[in-house]
Amino acid sequence: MAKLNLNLKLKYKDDLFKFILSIFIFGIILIFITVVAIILYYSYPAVSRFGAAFLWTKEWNPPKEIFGAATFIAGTFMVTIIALMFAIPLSLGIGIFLEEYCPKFLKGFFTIIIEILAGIPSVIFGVWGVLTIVPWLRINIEPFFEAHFSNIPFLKVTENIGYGILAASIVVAFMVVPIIASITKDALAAVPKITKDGALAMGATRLDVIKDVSLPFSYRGIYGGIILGFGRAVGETIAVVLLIGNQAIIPKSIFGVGYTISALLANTFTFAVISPIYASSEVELALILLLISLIVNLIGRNVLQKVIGGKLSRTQFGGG
Amino acid sequence: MTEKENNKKAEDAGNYFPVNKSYIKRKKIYNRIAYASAAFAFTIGAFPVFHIIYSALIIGYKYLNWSFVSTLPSGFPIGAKGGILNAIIGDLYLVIIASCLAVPLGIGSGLYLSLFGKKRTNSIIRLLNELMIGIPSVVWGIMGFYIFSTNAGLGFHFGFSALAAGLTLGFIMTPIVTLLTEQAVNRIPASYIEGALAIGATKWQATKSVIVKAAMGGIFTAVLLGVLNIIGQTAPLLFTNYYNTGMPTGITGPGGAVGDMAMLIFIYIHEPSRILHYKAEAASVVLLFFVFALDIGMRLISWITVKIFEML
Repeated sequence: MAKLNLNLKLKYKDDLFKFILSIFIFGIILIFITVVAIILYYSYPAVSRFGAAFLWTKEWNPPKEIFGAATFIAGTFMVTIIALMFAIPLSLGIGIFLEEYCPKFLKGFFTIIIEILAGIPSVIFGVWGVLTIVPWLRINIEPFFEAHFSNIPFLKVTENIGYGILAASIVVAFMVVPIIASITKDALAAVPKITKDGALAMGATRLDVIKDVSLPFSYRGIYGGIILGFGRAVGETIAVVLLIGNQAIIPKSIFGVGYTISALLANTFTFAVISPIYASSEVELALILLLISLIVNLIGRNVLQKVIGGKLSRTQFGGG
Repeated sequence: MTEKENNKKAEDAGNYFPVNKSYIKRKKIYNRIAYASAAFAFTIGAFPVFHIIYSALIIGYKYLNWSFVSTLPSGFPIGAKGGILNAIIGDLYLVIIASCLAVPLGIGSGLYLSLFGKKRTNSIIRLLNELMIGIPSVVWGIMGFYIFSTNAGLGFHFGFSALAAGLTLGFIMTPIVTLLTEQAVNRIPASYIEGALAIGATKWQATKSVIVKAAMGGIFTAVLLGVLNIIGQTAPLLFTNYYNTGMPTGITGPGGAVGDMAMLIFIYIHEPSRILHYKAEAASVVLLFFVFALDIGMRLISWITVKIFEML
């Protein structure tokens, strides 16, 4: 009898344990639903009032209650794309260096450096940009481009102040490099060693192995990394606020100042809540960011799931 | 067979498999170039790590002394004199509040995923967590504003306060802790858990006596990585806490706002005052110190656990 009681007690405890853990699972689902539902609920007035025209209206005029996101979407995509143009070759080089060329005894140390880069908070990147990148652009780069490339449309220097799309892009590029580089490294590490060794035994150089064996095997993983890097760059806020210049114009040159969605939200959201439609328009901008991040991450995870089996690299959790 | 014949044979073989010396040389040079450019890419990628630390130290070192971390900001503009004690205390508040939400939730969900989850539920929950990691922090901030901070509409009406900001940061931290806890538990050798279950332990007993002990290092790493992520967050605090130059008098309502290291740096770098820019760099050194301390602590813990596993 006593034994039966003991068994029952254990079973109750086990059931209780499972029950409590499943409450936690509901907590996770609840958090996800909360963020999506709050953004949808509070952006609904703007969505229903402006419709799809919100996306291509250029004017953003709170006193007249005219709201259009085109300027900010353009700024966001310019910063993201220029940042990726810097980040992709750089991080492919880093991934290839760490996995294929780097001497064995330095590999761990070098990998830690790239992981540290991922952990540096974005506000510190912003400060570094303001005090290092901006003066460098203003003193060295912009006068050079003004003197030699002033007739090329995208490289025209309009105002020589250092702040602008390029400054923001460079810093954002350094923030996405660790993500793409570490995923590239993981994807290259997933190439079976025996195929690489086979190619080497046939007399191929390292470069041949990378070009003809490793990259064809792992290019999907690298795409996945680039997609995740894109998602990170689109939502980057604090460093961009400090560097982009915060002018609501569509920049005509990479040296021009501009505005991104996240920068606008960071600067004006707390003033916007006095007027319901103004606040709602800002939340609709957040909805655009949320949708981009969800779609991009969904695609990126699916790609990576197939290649490196959903293994998460540390750099994806990087600091704010 | 004479030597002459041998030479002729070798020559024939050479005709069948022509060895083009200049071709090989070219290949080798290309390989060298690729090596050099990959190493160059790494140098550029590693440059900011060192330059950020260097430039922060070179500007901020004058202000780095004990009173910088042990006094409240004062002077005009506020912060010109005094230190950053408000931000350090505020970060402590935020980390504790966020951990109170995220640690039980994250560890519990991680355990559920690896112990009880069916394949289908697992993949859905994991996907949700991974999507949440990708959501930009400014979006989390807006969510936090509407459910915790604002006094209008739905939500909890905590005002701009430590509780509102801490819970928002807890939301950000939860998916990180969940995913890493699950990975940590999955890394335990299956024989440990199966052994416990085979001698009749229930899953609760197995968790209590085997899993928690074996995965302790991984779970600590998960929590520390979550903390590492949230002490660098600025954007959510803009809408849920903003900043306080003094000590908080509570955790909700008026007087509940706390200072925060990242927020302090953000505000100081916005001010048109050289001394505040220098102080922002000095504060960056302190924040980087905390980040690196957490990072090193995390690596030590996981290194020690690996060593212990090897000894067993």
